[in-house]
Order: sequence, then C-alpha cells, then structure tokens
Amino acid sequence: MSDNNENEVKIFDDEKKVLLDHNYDGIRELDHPLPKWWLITFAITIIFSIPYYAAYTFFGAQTIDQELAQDMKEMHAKQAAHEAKQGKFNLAEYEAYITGSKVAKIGKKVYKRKCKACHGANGEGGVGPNLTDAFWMHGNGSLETVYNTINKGVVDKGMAAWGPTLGKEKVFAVLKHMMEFKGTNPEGAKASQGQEFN
Amino acid sequence: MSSKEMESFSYDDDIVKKFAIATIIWGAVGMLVGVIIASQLADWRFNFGIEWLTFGRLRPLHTNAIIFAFVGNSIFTGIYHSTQRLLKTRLFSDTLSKIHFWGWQLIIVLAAVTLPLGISGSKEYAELEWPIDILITVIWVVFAVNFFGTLAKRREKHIYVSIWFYIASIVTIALLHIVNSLEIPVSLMKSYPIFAGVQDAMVQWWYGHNAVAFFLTTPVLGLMYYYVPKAINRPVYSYRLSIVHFWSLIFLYIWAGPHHLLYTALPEWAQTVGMVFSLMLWAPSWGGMINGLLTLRGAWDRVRKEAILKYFVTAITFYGMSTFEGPLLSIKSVNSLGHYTDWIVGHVHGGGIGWNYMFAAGMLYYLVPRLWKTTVYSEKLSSTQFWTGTLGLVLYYLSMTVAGITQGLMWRAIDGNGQLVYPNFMETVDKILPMYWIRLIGGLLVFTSMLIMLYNLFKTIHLAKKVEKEDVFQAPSLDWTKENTDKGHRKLEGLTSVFTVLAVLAVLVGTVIEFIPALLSRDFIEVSEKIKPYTPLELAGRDLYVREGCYNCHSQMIRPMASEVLRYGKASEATEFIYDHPFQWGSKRTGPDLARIGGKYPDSWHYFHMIDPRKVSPGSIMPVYTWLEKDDTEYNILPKKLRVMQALGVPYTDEEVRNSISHAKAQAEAITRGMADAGVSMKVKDKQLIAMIAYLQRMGTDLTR
Repeated sequence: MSDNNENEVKIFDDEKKVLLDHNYDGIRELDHPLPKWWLITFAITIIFSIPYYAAYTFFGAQTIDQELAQDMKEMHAKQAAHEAKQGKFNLAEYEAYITGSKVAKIGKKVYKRKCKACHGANGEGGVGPNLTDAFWMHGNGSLETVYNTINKGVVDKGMAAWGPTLGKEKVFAVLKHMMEFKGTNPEGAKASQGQEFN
Repeated sequence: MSSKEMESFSYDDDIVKKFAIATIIWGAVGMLVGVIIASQLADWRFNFGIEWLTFGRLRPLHTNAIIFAFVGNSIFTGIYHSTQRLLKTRLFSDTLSKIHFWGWQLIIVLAAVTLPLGISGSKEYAELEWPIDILITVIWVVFAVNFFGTLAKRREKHIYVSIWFYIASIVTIALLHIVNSLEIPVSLMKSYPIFAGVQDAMVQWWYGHNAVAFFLTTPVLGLMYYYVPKAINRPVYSYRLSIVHFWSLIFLYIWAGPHHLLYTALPEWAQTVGMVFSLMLWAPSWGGMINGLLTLRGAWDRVRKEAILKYFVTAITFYGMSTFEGPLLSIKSVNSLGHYTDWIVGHVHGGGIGWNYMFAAGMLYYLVPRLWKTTVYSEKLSSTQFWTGTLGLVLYYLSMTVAGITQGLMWRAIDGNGQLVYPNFMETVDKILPMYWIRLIGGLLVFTSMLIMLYNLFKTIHLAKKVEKEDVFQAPSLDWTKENTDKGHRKLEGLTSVFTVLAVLAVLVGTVIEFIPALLSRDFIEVSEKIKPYTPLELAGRDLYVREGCYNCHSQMIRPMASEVLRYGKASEATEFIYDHPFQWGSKRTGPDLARIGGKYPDSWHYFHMIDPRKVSPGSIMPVYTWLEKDDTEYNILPKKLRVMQALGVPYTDEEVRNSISHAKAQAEAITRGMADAGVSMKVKDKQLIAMIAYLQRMGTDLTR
C-alpha cells in the first residue's frame, strides 16, 4: 500500500508480544509500558508543584516584595556603615595623595574615560557644564564641594555618582586633574551656568 | 478490512514539492538575516548606517523568517506529505492547497518588506501589522479547512499520533494568533493592541511561549512520529506513551507562558503558575524524546552511516536538552540569573538550530529524493553539511550560555559595602564582546551548512528526471455504517470531531483560568492616581521607540531584586503600565533597562546619544540613529492616535484630542529651546528625535515624582 516503505519493518522477537495491529502507511506501533523513571519524574514534578504553589499563594511563604524589602534594608545598612567608615572629604589626606608620582596620569585617564563625554576634553562643557570658569551649580567650587559632587553625583540632573565606581583615590586624582582646568579658556567653551564664586 | 470495493486515488505531491522548495529558500534567507544581526552585535557598524538594516528592525525579521517562513514551510511540507499517506486519501482540495501555499509566501514577502521599514506592532514573533494579521488568519483558515476536509474523506479509520499533533497545532495556533492580534487600526500600517501593560504582557507571552510550543514543537513531534519510523523501518516504541505524553503536553504547555515574566510586575500568583507548570512540562516533553530515541533500537549502527539518521538523532537529542533547560530556566532563582541575558538566546537557538533545523534537514533529505524519484546528489555533501552545522551550533550555544551567565553574574554582583561591583553597564558588555564574535562564527557555520543543503538538494532536483504522472494507489473506502466497537482512546482515534473538541478544551482550560482574573478583575492591578497618560508628543515618541524596535535590546522592567534597584532605581510596578498599548517590557538587555531613564540625563545627553551613542557613552555598541534628526515628526496623525487610545480606555479628554497637534508642537519647542545651551539648533524642533527625547524623559517618572 505504501509508496515508500522500501523495506519491511524490522521487529525483534521480544517485541512481538507488545506489537499492536496498528498499521499506518507501513508504520507499526509497539505498546511498551511507560518507562518507570519517566513516570516517577512526572510524578515528582507534580507532587512538588502543588504544595509549592499553595505555600507561595495561600500560606504566606515570603513574597518577592518582602524578600526585596529585606534585602534593601541590608544593603542600606551596609552602605551607611561604609559611608561612616570612609568619612567626609579630608583635605590633608587629599594633599598627601596628590603628591604621588602617578596621580597626574591616573587623573587624566579617568577624566578621559568617565568625564570627557559630558564635560569636554578640556573641561569646556557640552552636555554637562563648563568646568573651566568660576561658575558652579552645586556648591561653591571648593575642593570639598566638587569632591562631593563627583563622589555622590547629581543623579536627577544626569551626573552619576562616581564614588562607588572609582573609589576614593581615583576621585582624588580626577579632582586634581579637573582643578587644573580652572581659569583656562578652551576652544568652544560653554556659556557659564550657576553662580559665580571667586 | 471492509468488503467494499477498492478505490483508486493519487496523492498531491506537487504541493509538497512546492513547500519543500520554499523551506530551503526561506531557511537560507532567515539564517542570512541572523548572521547579519549577529555581526551587528559584535560590531555596531555592520548596519552601515542604513535605517532598514538596524538590529532593532532586522531581529524581528530574523525570528519571523525562521519561525514562520523556514519552520512554517517545513511543517506544511511534512504535514501535507504525511497526512495524505496516513489517511490514504488525496488532500481535500488542490485549489485550497495552492491558495495556502501562495498566500503563505505572500505573507512572508510582506513581512520581509514591512519589518525593515519599521512597520511593527512590537509584540515578539507577532510584530506584523494588522492587515497582514488578517491575511494570516485567512490563510490559516484555508489550511485548516483543507486539513480537516482531508480528515473527513479519509480511508483509514483511526488517526495516527502524527495527526493528533497536527490537529492540536492547527487549532491552537488559530486561537493564539487571533487573541494576541486583537488591535485597533490607527492607519493602514499602524494599530494599537486592545490590551495594555500587564495584561498585554500576559497575552503576548501566552502567545509567544505557545508559538514555540504549537508551531516549533508539536507539529514537528507529529512529523517525527512519521519520518523517524519511516526512515529506519522500525515500529514506534510505545503507543501508550504517545497517548500520555500527547495529552499531558498540550494540556500543560498552555499554562507555562508566565515563565517569561518571572520577577516582573505580573502578580506573583501568575508567575508561580508559570513556574510550576513549566516544571511539570519536563516529563511530557521527554515522552516525545523517549519515543523517538527508543524507536531507533537496533538501528544505531546505521546512524553512523546515514546522514538522515544523524539529523534525526541530533534533532531529538537537542529537543531533549532544550526541554530540560526550559523548565530549569523557569525555576525562579535560575530565571533571576538568566532572564534578559544571552543565556536565553543560546537556549532558543539550541531549540531552533538543534531541533528545528536539524529535523527539517533530515526530513528534506528523506523527502526530496522520494518526491523527485531520484537519489540525493551527494551523500558526502550531506554529511559535510551535518558536521558544519553541528560545529556551528555547538559554538553558538556555548558562547551564548557563557556570555549570558557571565553577564548575569556581573549584573547582580554586590560588594560588602552594599554597592554594585559593576555599576557601569558598559563594563558588563565589554566583558562578553569576544563571545559575540564566537557566536558570529557559529552562526556563519550554520548558515554555510544551510547553503550546502540548498546546493545539494537543488542539484538533486535539477538532475532528476521529470515525473510525468502521479502514482495511483488503491484502498477500500471506509464503511461508516459499521458499528464502532473500539474502546478507550482507540475509539477516540476514530472520532476525529470529538478528538478535535477535546484538544481545544485541553488548551482552553489553562488559557481561561489564567486569563479570566487577569482580564476581568479590577483588583488584578492596583491603580495609582499618579499615573497619567502620555502627552501627544510623548506618544509620538513612543511609537518611534516601537518602530525602531528598541525593545529588542532594552527592557522596561526593573525587577524586584536588590541588584536591579541599586542599578536602575525603584522596582517597576504594574500600575505604571496601564496606558501602555502595547507594553514594552522587552525580553533581552543588550543595553541597560530603560524603565526609569526619564530625568536621569539632560535632554541634550539623549540628543547626542541618539546621533552618536559613543560620544556620551564610550564603548557603546548601540547603532547610530541619525535619521531621527532628519525626519519630521508626524503631527497630523496625533488626533487620530489619541482617539484610538481614548477608545481603548485611556482617559484623554476631547479637548486634549482636539489640541493634540498644538500641544505636541509646543512641547517640542520647549524641549529644543532647553537644549540651546548645549549647542542644539532650534531648526530641529519638529524632528523625530525631539519626540523620542520627550518619551524617554517621561519614562518611569510618574510614580517617583
């Protein structure tokens, strides 16, 4: 009947007792029992699923939101501890650090990678404000306030908090680099923004 | 057998040949598009600055071409060929077969034209716009009538397991496609879906997951039950297993959609449903693998020698692997690591290349020589194809799994100070870029293997002698008056209408139980007063976001996990998306999440970023979107758009609809003026880029304001 079963279907002797009389275009079917390991696997997934679903949906197992709240509490505690330990801007520490021989190189590199995109290659400004003039938008341009701006960012204005990414020393280095822009008048300088401080 | 007279008939193999040729051609096209977009992730310049070739627009073309053009044509090939033989009858109507064939090819061509143009509804694997959606429905109905008509005139009383799978696939795909495509047109090539936000996401992933189930899996399992025993001349291992795994598979599959939405704003009970049903799917999926592999008993020595069997064995093995990995990825804790990463991309290609491509290749090597009554042009090429494709698959799968797990771990890494270890997203991209190159090599190898098949099979066809006449077969007609003395499932196999109704019920149970609370209940989502509809300009920008396919690389869903909140801000809530027709949660983060991008950077940052991402984000792999700065915002259609939104329940007042154009223009002007400082000219105020900025700056701000 079939147009393309060139060979007879091969059936082993031990299969004859489970061979069914089905024949579809030459395809025969055996009726082996369901493999035991397969049945057990299926049963386990079902047996696991019902109490699992019930626990999370009806019997008050910790919800995703509760888990998040707990994790965030932990994170905030760790962050607070870290901030307390790191302390505020320390001028003496800064001045001691910037005497290092590699500071200029590090500062330049970090500025190029993280700051240049918004503040320009020479601090002339672009998306972000001009860093060469005497006008400041967040603080008065002192080492301490600029350090704080770099460290914590002005997130709602698009300035990222670089402290966690860079670490204290790199922030010192880039602060040192930035401070050298002061008073230069680079090409394409952006109009001043903020208040003037002298 | 009945004592009735023998009837003579022939099979319509012409239509099978047509579908087989289409399979080969579209397979090559779909994979070519895949290689192109893989290259764009390795190096962003590979779209050559051409808007029609960007990743966001071509990725939907790749997925649609592989799923509906390549696998689609391959299952039509196999279904039309095997059904006639399993039912001992010619197809119901040669005309319907032809309409089906040409209609389907037309749909594919329309997809290939519209998707690169950015005409997209943005629902994954259902991006095609409403006129094409209607055409798909019509052609699918033609297919169904042709198939069920063939069933009605069969000469074999009982339907074989292949036919069970075909029935379930045909009815379920119709249901999925129609429900997920419910949308209201705004213009000839633009529509908004009737569902929004969480509901839209739920419908979409019920569809998306079950498109994988009922388009890429169940029809192919049906084909496996025909072609594997045919190719090796061995009986199917267990009829009982066929019954149990068929019914459990189609019943359980439909529930598992929410596993695509774990840790999203979807209510947690629905997420848990998605997870447990995915776990329970493992065994029923493996039922098919067992029946496939154990049917090979006593024929394993032939696997070494015969290419066809190599393809089938590899296909079934990868089916087993994917259906193990699927439930694994559905476990919440595993999903929290893998979701949005390349691990998922690896997973789907394990299924797509390993199962679907390998199976189609085996089937074509079985069919083509038989249909054209010849022998294959080169067994050697067939074997070369196999090894090339397998090597490519392994490279693809491993590189993506490694990339995904690496990036997932980097995203979530938090140090002892409660801070992200890799706060800069770019760092996590840089790390996996080498893997993108390895993936490209893997993809190129798979594509090459496809080209080898194209050459080998076309050469086979070309060298074949022209077949003049169709073969004639004989079988007795069925005696429907005879009493049905079968029992149990065997009885059902003779009652195809009852069988079909039961299959529909099996998929409806999960659908209804999941959807009724989601779509009808007012408590399903807590609605916050803070959430307001988009302004007209923001809506225009949102449609550009959809057009450019931004969702292909950016999610809009901050998961409720500490690492996500630290990186992106407050976890997303269901209420934030109630006016989002369609939702834009996305499924992959090649770039960062954008749910709270609004207000994070100045307008000018976005302006320069869209024109040249690397200017403000060094190392970025995002393409340039220079055309947004050149093309005008389409203001005139805004009243129409707001009207449709109004009809969908978005609370715009009539006055807002009337004033939408002037409101949008004023907002655009204000945004542009605000960027004057940064050197942006007022001349661009009516350009699309300004609308895009308006949307980006609005995103996620209502709740946190």
